[in-house]
Amino acid sequence: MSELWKEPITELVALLRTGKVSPVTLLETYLERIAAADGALEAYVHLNEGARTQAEAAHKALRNGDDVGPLTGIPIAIKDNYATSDMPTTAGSKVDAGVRPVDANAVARLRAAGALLIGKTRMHEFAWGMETPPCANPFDLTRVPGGSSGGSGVAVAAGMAAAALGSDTGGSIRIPASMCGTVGLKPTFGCIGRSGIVPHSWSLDHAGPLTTSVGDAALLTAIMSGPDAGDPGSDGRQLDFGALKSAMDGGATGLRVGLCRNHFFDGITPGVAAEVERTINALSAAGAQVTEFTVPALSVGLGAIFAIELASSTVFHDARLRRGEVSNFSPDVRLLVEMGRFVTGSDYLKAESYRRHLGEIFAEYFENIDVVVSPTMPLVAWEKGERQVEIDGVPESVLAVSWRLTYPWNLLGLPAISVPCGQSDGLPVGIQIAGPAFGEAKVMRAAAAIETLIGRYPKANIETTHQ
Amino acid sequence: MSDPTDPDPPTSPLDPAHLLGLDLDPERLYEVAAAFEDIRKSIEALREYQIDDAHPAVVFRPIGGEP
Repeated sequence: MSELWKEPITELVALLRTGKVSPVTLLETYLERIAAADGALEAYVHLNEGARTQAEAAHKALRNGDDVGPLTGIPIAIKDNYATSDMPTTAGSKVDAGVRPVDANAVARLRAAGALLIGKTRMHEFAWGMETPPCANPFDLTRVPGGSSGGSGVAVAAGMAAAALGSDTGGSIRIPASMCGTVGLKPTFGCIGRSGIVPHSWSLDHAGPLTTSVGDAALLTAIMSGPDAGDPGSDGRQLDFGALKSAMDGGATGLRVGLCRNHFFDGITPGVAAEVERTINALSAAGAQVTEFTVPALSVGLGAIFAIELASSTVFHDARLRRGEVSNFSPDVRLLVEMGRFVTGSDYLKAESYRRHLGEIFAEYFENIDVVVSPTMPLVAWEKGERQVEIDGVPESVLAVSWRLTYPWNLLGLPAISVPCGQSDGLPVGIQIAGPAFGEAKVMRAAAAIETLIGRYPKANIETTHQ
Repeated sequence: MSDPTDPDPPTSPLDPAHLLGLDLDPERLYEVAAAFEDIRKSIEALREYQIDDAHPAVVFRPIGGEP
């Protein structure tokens, strides 16, 4: 029982229910890891002083055989842009984010299911960025963990929480998941209500979990799904964990895998390409039917997501811009927020027309395939301070490269997950699986098949990392 | 014709910053515009992309009333 921090939630629940482990012991396991490693990793910005009391209450309820929720006694970390009633919320900014201390919809659903909130994780300011400074990658402290949900990726990868929440506007769950060797799921737009999450770009923002296993991602997403009266984008339907679990048992045989060979396979570093192709070959050998296709329309997707994201962020921060408060933002975020004023109304609506156009193209492909598979990112975690990377002899900004394969699924609002599939230069590589709208069962089936074929990525050995 | 001795001459209605309501000081505006250049090229490519009759993915729904 000394390595409880390596276990997925689905295993921990069984240990808690049978009384083999108490919620207090489990919480202390993670707190010990945090005490040992977080000075160097800086994943947390706040630890919940009430967590121990919550763990004791969970212990009592379990011991009494009370009818408790499915996450009773499970410590979960929360990205610092989700409002929480018992911890402050800063959205990673020194500027007051103006968040009321009322649980966000997703947090309330976790709490109602019995989860313990262990703390708030560090994020790139206002969810604008891929680095999450000063957070460090647990597999190499000189490298970034990705972002904007970087602290959540680190907390899960280093065994400092059973799982963590992230938010994803252009890849902010899947990018740190890929760079930290965790699972990260962005479900269909509208699946998890976002009320109580500090907005970044209303029509692109998604809530979702970063987890140790595919099964944990399915469990947490099912628990957090359902109606949210405070989110106009909420679809209202509740995912059924039992149905997702059945789908995950489906395996690779007969799974129809699509590879969009333009855009999603362009400009990939050789180490990432090798691991992803190896995984696709393994899926094929296990009985998946692999189809290749191209979507030329993806060539202008970058302009579309920039038009929507920049304009939305600028509107959200408009009062702060007018009051001059953005001068207190970090320089990279201030620049982006000020830039949104260059986007015209017609640019914004052209981008929204493009989303529908692109969505119709992919909907047609999804009539004949179950999932689209690609690398999650073209590269692995880069050095802190590194600004450029050379791929195929072409120098590119690491920030521009980092979200190239993830943002199309935000434009489309379709479910997409990152699952570890190997390593390059000793660092984790993620493979991305996307599906049709509310096709989470198909996505989870493919993800589980890959997890079975490749295995889960080991947790970061923080004792070694510290040397 | 504007008065060259006027210390606070009226802004030309054709001035792009005036047209777009850009209220940053000129030095900062230059920095932001320079940083925007690569993004502007991406948005320009979107402007030139031909889309036939796709309703923007923004749908207005009236608020209130019976569901």
